Amino acid sequence: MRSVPPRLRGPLAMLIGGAVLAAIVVPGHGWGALVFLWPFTVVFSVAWYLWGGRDSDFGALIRDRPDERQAQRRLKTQALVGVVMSGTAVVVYLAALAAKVPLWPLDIFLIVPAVTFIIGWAIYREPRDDRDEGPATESPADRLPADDVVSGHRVVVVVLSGDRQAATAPRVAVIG
Amino acid sequence: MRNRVREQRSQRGLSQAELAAALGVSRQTVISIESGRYLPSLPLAFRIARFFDLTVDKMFDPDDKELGT
Repeated sequence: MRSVPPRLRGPLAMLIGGAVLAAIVVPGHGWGALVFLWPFTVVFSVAWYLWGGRDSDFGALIRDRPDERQAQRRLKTQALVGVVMSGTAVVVYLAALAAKVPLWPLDIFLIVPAVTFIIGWAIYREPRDDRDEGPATESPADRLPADDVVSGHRVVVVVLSGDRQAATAPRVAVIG
Repeated sequence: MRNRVREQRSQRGLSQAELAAALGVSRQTVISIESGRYLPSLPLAFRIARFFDLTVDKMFDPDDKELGT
C-alpha cells in the first residue's frame, strides 16, 4: 500500500472493499445485488479521488498530508465519533435489554471501547516521574563566582582581599 | 490571542499561500492563524517568529484571560 500514491489509497481500498463485499453477497443474494452495490462503490471511489485533489482540509486528509491544525481537527472529529458511538451503544444496549433480544453483538460495542480506552491510556502515558522536586536547593558555594568554587579538595580559606562589610566575594588560597 | 502574522506578511509582500509553503503548513492554516481562530503549536509559533526575524512574544500577544491573570 506504501507504493500507492496517498490520493489513490482511499479509492483503491473502497474498490477492494466493494469487491470483497460482492464476493460475500453474490452467493446468497445473486448477481442482482451488484446492481446496487457496484455503481455506489465506483461513484464514491471516483468522488473520493476528486475530493483528494481539492485545496481544502478534507483534501489534505485524503492525500494523507495534514498539517498540525488539520490533524487536530481530524483528532477532534474522531473523538466526537467515539463519544457518539459509545453513547449510542449504551442506549441501544439498554433498548435491547428491555426488548429481551440477543445481546451478544451489542456486548462487543460496549466492551471494545472500554478496553480500547484502557489500552490507549497505557500506550500514551508519559514516563512516571511526576514528583514535585520542590525549590532548587542552594549551597553557599553557589553564591561564589564559578571560578572560585573548588571541589574535591580539603581547603583552608584564607581571605586575601575583599571586604566583609561589603560582602564582596573573597579571593581564596587553597592549601592541601 | 492577537498576532502580527497578517501585518508581517503584508509588509513582506507575501501571499498566504507563499507563507504557508514557507512554513510547511496549508493555506487554510495560515488563514486560521491570522484570524486568531487557531493557536499554533509551540514549534510552529517559533517557526513563524523566526521566519519573520521576531521573537515569539513579539509575534503573539495573549490577552489576560488566556494567561489566567
